[in-house]
Amino acid sequence: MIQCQPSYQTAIFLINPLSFTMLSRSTLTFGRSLTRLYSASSKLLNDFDVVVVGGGPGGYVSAIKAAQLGLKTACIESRGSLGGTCLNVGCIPSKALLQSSHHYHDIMHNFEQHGIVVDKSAVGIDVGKMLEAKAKTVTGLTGGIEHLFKKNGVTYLKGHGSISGPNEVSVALNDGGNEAVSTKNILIATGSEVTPLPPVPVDNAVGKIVDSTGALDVSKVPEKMAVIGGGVIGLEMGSVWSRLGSEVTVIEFMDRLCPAMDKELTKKFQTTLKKQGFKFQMKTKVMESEVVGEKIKLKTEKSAGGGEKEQEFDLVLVATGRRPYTEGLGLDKLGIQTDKLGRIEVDSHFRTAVPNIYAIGDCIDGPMLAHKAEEEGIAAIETIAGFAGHVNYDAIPGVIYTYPEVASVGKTEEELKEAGVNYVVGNFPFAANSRARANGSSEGFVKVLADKDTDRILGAHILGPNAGEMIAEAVLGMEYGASSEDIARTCHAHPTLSEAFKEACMDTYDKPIHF
Amino acid sequence: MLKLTRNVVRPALHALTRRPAPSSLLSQSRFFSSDLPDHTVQGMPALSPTMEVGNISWRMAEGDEFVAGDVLAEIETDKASIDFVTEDDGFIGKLLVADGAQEVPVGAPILVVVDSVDDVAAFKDFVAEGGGGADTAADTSDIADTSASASAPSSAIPTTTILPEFMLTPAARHMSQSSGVDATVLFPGSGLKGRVTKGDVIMALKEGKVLPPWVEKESANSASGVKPVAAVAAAAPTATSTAGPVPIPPISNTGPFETVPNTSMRKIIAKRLTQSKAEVPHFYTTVVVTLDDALALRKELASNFGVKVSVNDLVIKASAMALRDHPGVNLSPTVDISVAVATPSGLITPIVPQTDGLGLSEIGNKVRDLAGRAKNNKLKPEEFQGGSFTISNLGMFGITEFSAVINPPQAAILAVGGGSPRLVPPKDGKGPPVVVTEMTARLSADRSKVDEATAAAFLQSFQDYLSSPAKMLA
Repeated sequence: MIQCQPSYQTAIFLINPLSFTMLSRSTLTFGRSLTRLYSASSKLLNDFDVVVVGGGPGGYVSAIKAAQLGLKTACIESRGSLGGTCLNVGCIPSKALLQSSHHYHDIMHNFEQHGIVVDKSAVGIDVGKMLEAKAKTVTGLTGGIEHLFKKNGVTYLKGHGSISGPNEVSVALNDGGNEAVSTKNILIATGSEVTPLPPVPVDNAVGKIVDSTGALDVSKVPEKMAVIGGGVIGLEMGSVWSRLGSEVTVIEFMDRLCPAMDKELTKKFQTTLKKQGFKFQMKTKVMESEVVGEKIKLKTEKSAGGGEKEQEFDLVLVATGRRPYTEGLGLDKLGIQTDKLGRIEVDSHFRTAVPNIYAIGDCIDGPMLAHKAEEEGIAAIETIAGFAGHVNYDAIPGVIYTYPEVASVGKTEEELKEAGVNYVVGNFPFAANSRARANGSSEGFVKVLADKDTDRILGAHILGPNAGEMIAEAVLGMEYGASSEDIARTCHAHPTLSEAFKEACMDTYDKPIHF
Repeated sequence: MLKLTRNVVRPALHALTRRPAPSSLLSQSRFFSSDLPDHTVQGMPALSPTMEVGNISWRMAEGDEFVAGDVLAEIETDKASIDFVTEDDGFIGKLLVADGAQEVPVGAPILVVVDSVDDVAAFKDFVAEGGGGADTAADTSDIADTSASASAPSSAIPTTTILPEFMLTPAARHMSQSSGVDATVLFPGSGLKGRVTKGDVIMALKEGKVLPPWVEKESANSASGVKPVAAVAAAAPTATSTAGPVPIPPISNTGPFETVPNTSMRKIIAKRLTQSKAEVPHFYTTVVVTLDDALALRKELASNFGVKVSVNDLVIKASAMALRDHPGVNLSPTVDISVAVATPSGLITPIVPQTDGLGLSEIGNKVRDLAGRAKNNKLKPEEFQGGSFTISNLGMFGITEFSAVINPPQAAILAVGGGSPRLVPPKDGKGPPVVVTEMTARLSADRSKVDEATAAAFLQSFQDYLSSPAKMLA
């Protein structure tokens, strides 16, 4: 049974030129460990309790948690910086760009109504500087993770990891050479990669047909931009450039945006984006693409066939989805199965077919969300450490960081109807929320779904300012098995946007006051 | 009091231990499942209020036929050895505990009774769900508040680190408090770590679960949010009385107890019947009825025609016809007999409309339907408000005779006891005494509306019809 306090660092380190980057607590107390230098085994990097393959949100959180629980931990990451897709080319940089572009858009369109006189001809956007600010945020945070690793005593191995046996991970070091690491447990957190769309091959270097990574480094505002895929990533990136002046066209195969989300929510969301200038081509698929000089020609037709069209764009973003990344892990040899979508198969405790090898995050089933990976990582580490680890998949929120934001947790109306569950709906528009009105930003609504007989909250869907923060209240409530009346009877500060959530709950079981 | 289960079990004295037979708590469930023949699972009866376990020595075997009066088994408790006597007919489908079984808990299923010898084979591998008897015991015993344990949870109360003040979610607290009850006892609920949610309270109130009264937290004992449960005869809660009588001094704490508040139904019943007893000039006339012919008719209907009719159905039919003959007791244009039924929230009297025009099985079906719905609080108001005459039957509790209180504005009520074997002189005066089954019925009548002669004449007709059921056809 692992004790809940940091264990003594009894590992001995030979100071090896290759391992200057590896700092651990015992080498910081070099004097003390010097006396042990000659007394025990001289093998490097031996006998970890857990080695985490992948340093993204799932991986680094697991590693830090493991170290905090007193497990001897190593984390392998080949990118050259920690934080995975999220920190480097995903969540964080996109949010930084969304914030910058939001400020620009606000000045250009919303400041006037507040009495601020803006000479629009004097306002411009320096894309290079915007990208610099984004990069600074990213390096600041990735450096922060490295610092946390040092602080908690996680051994950071920079290289590409592959599992050479149930208790061994082989690291192809970025600096050259190979390292073999022996460990009791292995946690696979290798995440996901962009799913390629064959008719539209991505080349981020050229920068004409890009994926989400490339879209974060576009050097100038494209006049016409096509977003292939009406999902979260496409809409967020489309928002960035749309605010900066692009004409954005979303080409989506299905009949609505974000098909897995609540229908009413996505329909209203689409209307909002339309008002912002987005163009939508729904039920459309891309058959061919061609880069001609600075332009890209796309040949599209209706998903069901027919209606061929040729269109020209300055930038095309391919955002049709992501798939698990398990390249070079050596899963076959170990007998670890992946399903037809490439996801590693695990049991309810995140164990693969090999009992001491776990897998979490984007590389297994479930929504591809950073916070889901974090929850799973912690649960898996707690399992390894001998505690009970648990993830409540019914209460994992999803957020779209456009403006207004979109946030969801729990079941959609469609899911409840399909399951034959009797439910009631509560609705409240932000137009009736005092704070939203005072802010001059009152587009959107809150919808709460509750069980008809017990009033238990089954789902919450928000379109509006601060939705991503507000959904946390719904998540907390659902964790406690709250009814809509519980939240309605909880005091919410006035005037805040969160009152809209309270009033939606009031509408669910009874009547709202302010609508 | 009306009970619809057919099998009535009553302990009888063992020859060597002269103890009065205590009233037994019914502990049986009737099953009409589609994959097994109709049967009744008999649970271990509680032969005394303190009996917890008993030892069984069977006196009959599987497949045996028994008739009313047969001894099925001898049950030994720590206090006495008592014969397990049946008042009904049937066949032993399966003995669920072995002969000589020791320390069989009260309520545990011990016997399957079937209606025909052919059904016995179907129960060869029958296994009863445990505790079915205990539930029905609690269900049927609520006529007497003293033994009621309305929400009978198991003795083990789970522990929790949740503070009592956070055990109820806000909505659950509001609903609980507004209903005047403390829903904390519903722990563990469906919320996180067992918190009691609004849904839990909704369900509990819907099921008619009796919860302790809501007490303002300053005065309540805050030792734990989970109150241990034991039943106590409910006195009117002193906390809620505003004006009026001297407050009842607190009961000394010799152990955990629970105050059960009266339902509104019981409060209304209390008020009406107190008024009735105080203001209506009751007088009582008693008659003894020989049941043998009626029981024989029952048996014949069952065995030859597959028609199941209870003794109570016969009592109702006889009364209906007697009321038709003696409108002076009915005092209403139609004969509509109210049949007393015990429900978890009180005594209710659903009406069998135009009883005198119904056949025996029609009466039986109607009564079963009404009683079933009464227990689930699903009666419409017009189904229990009104009626011209009431019948109350306590026979299945082993009550030999009693006097009931008239339900105004009715003019009379008939209180019927159980049949018991009696030794009587032979009919024509010749030969040895014979054993017959006799039942005592007592009519309470309103002297301001009915005089003694009318009452007597009615009872005479009733006796006539019931003792010679063939006359009901004439």
